[in-house]
Amino acid sequence: MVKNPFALLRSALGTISLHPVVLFPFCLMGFVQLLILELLFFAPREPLASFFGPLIHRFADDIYLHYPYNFVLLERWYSSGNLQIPVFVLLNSFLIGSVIVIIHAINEHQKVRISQIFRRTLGRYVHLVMASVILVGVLYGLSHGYGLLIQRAAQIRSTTGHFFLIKQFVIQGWPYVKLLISCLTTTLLAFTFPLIVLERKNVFSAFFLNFARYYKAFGTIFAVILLSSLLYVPILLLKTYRQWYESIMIPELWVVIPVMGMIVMLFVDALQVAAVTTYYLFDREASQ
Amino acid sequence: MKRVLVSLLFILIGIYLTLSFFDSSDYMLEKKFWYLKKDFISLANDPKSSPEQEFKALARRYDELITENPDTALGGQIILQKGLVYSLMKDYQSARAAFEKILKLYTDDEALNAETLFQIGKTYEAEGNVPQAVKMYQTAQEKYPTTLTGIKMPLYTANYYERENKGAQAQQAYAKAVDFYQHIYEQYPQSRIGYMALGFQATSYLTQENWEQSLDVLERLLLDFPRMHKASDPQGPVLIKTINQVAIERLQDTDRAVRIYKKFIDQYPQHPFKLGLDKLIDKLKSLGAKEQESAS
Repeated sequence: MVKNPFALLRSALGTISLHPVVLFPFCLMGFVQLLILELLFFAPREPLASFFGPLIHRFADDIYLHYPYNFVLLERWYSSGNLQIPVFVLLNSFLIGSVIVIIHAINEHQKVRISQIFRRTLGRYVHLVMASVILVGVLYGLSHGYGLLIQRAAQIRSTTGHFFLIKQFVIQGWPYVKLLISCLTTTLLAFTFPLIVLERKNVFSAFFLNFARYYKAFGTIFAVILLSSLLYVPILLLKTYRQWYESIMIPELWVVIPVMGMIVMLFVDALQVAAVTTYYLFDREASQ
Repeated sequence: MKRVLVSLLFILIGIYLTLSFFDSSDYMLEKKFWYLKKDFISLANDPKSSPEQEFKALARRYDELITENPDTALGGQIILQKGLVYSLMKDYQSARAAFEKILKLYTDDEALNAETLFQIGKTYEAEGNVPQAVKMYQTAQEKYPTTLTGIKMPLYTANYYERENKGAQAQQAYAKAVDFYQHIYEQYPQSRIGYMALGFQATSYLTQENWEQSLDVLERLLLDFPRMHKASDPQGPVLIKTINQVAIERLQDTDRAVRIYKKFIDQYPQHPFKLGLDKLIDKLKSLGAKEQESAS
């Protein structure tokens, strides 16, 4: 059962639907994301403009202080790594750790008390943050490698033929390759988080054990991560046709796409964390 | 857990309401103005099939916007847009009345004043009053030479004369335009306005098919403003394409193009254009060799 990615995903979905408390940390992540969107939405308007105005002037352009260009900046800044990476490292890492502890408690038929779960996870916070930094570092490294490939492709001058097709594939396929890189990175470090919070390992031991114990699970976990990430592909497709939807929608609705993306991504994350933790717990029980 | 989630939802709603309540900016006005501009564009796309009532209603909505927001910084823009509605209706008297109001009320806004003078000129242009139109364009150029509209005026005037089949005046205007752009370039050598001036000077020469002079200016445009040419900026490739066209197709001097690019690489060896220009030089050299072969 454990080796079947579909069965793992079904089991994860079952856990989420039977125990909605699993989604609580993801609701907190959603709250923070909506709060960021709300603050960015009001950034060009008083009273927040006194703070954000000089920042927009310095890092973007004064035009983004005005309607409807503020929505362009909103989407750009909201999805920027400068904002999302600190949120992931400092907050999401802790909340993902909490989800793992919640699923473990459910598996052990214990009563789930959020305050206790948070206290227990807080004890592992430093290691969770360090693991997230490693995760982001690997993701950044792989993305940077692909960035070099894009730069090389951009120099191809052909407008027809094989080279042109390669150029188009490398450049246009960037969002999908990014998703694939993210799947690969998540798979590579999938068991680091459960090892940190459930086995109370430090980040380096967890990192080592993640490879030493679970290299055989790579195929299954990669399939789980990839299959669940496919839910995000429609959002990527929509983002590809951004100019089209911006031309037919009123500017206020441009925000709908990032919000939808955020909701889908949180659901995908919930599925992935639940599936990986389920695999981890089954494997632990089997080896005991 | 449910209570926490409901509280978080209320926090989001509370922040939204509070920030909306304390919003003292022109944001809502900008929004209304943008939607009116959209209506204007759809009317302008097909003015003949739109009844006069629609134009009048739009002009009234601009008036209402001003009345509701008498102290707004957008006032001049709104009146300008209202004037454009009258221009579209071919009611040039009312259009000019609106534009002149801007010149009286918003004396400090140079960009707005230059645009207003240009629009007044266009109303005269539409009436076939060439001297008055040119007078307005010249005023915009003389009073506000470094605004986006003001700097365009000399070239626009020359093109206008040409469109009106006034060949001699067009030639004079082109000559004046070239001097004007040279003067601006010298006055603002390392600035965006200097860069624009040189661009307009090159266009003036190109329009007159003065290939030698235009290539000199295009060379300066490339060499004097390396920071303006970024890999992401579409202007850079356009400039290189124009240099190629003038040097190779018009002057049949491939070596000249190669010399310009080599000079650029020598001066800015770290520039993002270097790699592309290196390849281009190789291509041009082999092209030159082939031409020599076929000639001999």
